Amino acid sequence: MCAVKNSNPGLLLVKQDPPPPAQLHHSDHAVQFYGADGPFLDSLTQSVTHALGAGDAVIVIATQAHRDGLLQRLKTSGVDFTVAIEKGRFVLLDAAETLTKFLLQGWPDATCFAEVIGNVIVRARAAAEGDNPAVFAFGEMVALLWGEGKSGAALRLEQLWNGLAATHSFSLHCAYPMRSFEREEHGELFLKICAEHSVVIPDETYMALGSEEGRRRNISYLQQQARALENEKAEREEAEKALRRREMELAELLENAPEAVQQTGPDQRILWANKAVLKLVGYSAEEIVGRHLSEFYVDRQTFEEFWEKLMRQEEVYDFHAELKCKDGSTKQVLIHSNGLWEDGEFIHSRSFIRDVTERNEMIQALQRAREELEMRVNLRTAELEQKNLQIQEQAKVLEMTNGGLRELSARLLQVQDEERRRIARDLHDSTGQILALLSMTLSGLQAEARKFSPDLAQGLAENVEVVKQVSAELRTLSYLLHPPLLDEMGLESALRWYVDGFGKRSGIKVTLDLSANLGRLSRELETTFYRIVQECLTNIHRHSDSPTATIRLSQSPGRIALEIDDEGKGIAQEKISKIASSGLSGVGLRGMRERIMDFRGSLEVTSNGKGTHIKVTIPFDAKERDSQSLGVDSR
Amino acid sequence: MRILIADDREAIRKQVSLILSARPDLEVCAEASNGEEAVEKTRELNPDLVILDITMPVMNGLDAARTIRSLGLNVPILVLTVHKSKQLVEEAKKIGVRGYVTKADASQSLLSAADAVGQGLPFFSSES
Repeated sequence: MCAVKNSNPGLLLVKQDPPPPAQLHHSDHAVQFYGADGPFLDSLTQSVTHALGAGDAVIVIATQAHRDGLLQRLKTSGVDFTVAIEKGRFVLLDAAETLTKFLLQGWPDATCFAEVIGNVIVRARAAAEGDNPAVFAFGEMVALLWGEGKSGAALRLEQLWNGLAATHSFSLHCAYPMRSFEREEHGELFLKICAEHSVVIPDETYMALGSEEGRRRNISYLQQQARALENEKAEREEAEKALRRREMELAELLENAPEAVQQTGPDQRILWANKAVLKLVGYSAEEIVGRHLSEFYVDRQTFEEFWEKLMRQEEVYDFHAELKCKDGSTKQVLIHSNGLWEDGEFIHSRSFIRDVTERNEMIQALQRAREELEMRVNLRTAELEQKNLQIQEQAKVLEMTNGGLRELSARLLQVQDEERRRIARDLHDSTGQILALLSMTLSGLQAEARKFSPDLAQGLAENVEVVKQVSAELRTLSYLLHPPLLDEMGLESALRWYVDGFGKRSGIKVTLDLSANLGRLSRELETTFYRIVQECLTNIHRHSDSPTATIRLSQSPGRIALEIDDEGKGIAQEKISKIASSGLSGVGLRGMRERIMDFRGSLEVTSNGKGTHIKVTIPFDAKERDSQSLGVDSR
Repeated sequence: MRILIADDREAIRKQVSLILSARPDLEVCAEASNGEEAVEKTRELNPDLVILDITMPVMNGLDAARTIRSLGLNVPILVLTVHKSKQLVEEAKKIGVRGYVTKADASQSLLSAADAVGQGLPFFSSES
């Protein structure tokens, strides 16, 4: 292995000595590798000085720089080379120019080479001194070819030199800068070059070592370095392999990712897209790569907006766009993207594209469903409102009907009262008066009869009694139907009369407590109070088992209150509730409620096991009453 | 004694007159068929006794009695009615009525009542 990086001065293990002159034989074809121009030129100067000193011919085919360096060094060394040059014993040729003389289409032509270089050698030899003059040649043409990467041409040129040596006796010294072989793949060609030479001279770092021991140490060190490099190289290769594998995996992962991933270059053309992108838009990779990204946007403005964000080096998140597909359909997408920037230069974008078409459709469907639901709810609400209105209307009608019924019922009570009153009047004022008249007449007849017929008088007396009984019964019936005193004397007297009779009939002790200042009320109101007392006392007698009853009629500003209490067993709570809610209740209580309704009054019924309290309150303005009843009541 | 009879029924007035006619010193000076008429004739004729029915059209007997009293006339008033009622009697007394006789008792009590009341004495037949 010759892969030795010997241009590094750090590799030197021992102190550097001046390099020894190259000792070449007449037929040697040596190659010298060098690191720096200085040591190489020093070495070349020594060889040229030695050859010129020996009277040999010297041919130097080199670059301008090397030729100048050589001559400079020769001058410094005090070597007089001008005569040799003049005589043609020291020939200096430009490497590049010389090459042109035998290269045909970049390839060294053997014939031309032999002719051109052969002639140079022959002429130089002819100018040499001594009996058996030698020719020392130095060439850099192969190094030039090599440096231009024409390694084949360089090798071929080496071979032509070797071929020329068969016909012309000369020693040839080639030189290659070691920097030409820095890569590993140069190793094989390096060996081939070495193989074309009979002598290989390592670069100055090796040649500078003065002792064999030093060189061995250096070789050992170089071997160690070579091994280390080998290992490092193997490791690096392994790492690179792993890296490549990882890259492949990642690339495959990206390629097969369910999320669409895509790269776009600075020219807005698509660089790469994974399978998910292809599936999304329905194109093949060949159809999509290289195309302008904007072609896939439904809305150009949206694309411009997206690209402007990228160019502002913004991270683009949740960017909504609509993409065109190959089949003409469109896809709603959500794009996450950013740019890869190097030294302020945009390299490419990296976009992750999510198909949200289905999601959006679902959202829209959901929205539609919600709207439909809302519509249905609204519709249903409207229907319910309509129904509600209808019900309210019906309730109104019902209320009106109920009101009408109540009115009718109250009216019926009034009519009933009036009718009772009329019948009572008829019975009392008409029939009663006739009976009274009959009684008086019979009494008169009886007085007359006593004068002539005691029997007739007795019969008439019996008839008078019968008439009295009939009158009494008729009066009772009449009073029950309608108390005539109510009209003539007012509520107080009528109530006293009724309560008196009731107490006697029922055995219930009734206490009547009347406001002294009550005065006369309207016939309707007096009748109402009278009937309520009548109803309550009847109920107490029938249902309560109470031994007592108290009736209190009182007046306070703005109202008259009638309260009836008993000490009976009370009314069942259930029935009280019905009364409170104006529901079904006893006909008597309902009648009372309807009677007082005409006067905008209220009825309260409270009851427990110790008795019942009924309170009727009716709004009443005494002043109004007095102003209306000025003068004499003519009932 | 000049007597005014007030009753809305003519037959009753006639019967009362018949009962009173048993006594020559009693003279029915006028008849009225309602309270208002009774008040007018009382003021006009200034009788010695006024016999008032209670239940009458236009103005009832109690109101007529009240009006007569309110006019400052001190004529004795006797109520003759079919009503048999303590309350009515009490009310009549408050107004200043001196006597109270039910029509059923008229044949037996009217003359006595007329005498008593005419002399300024009270007469309330068995307190009705």
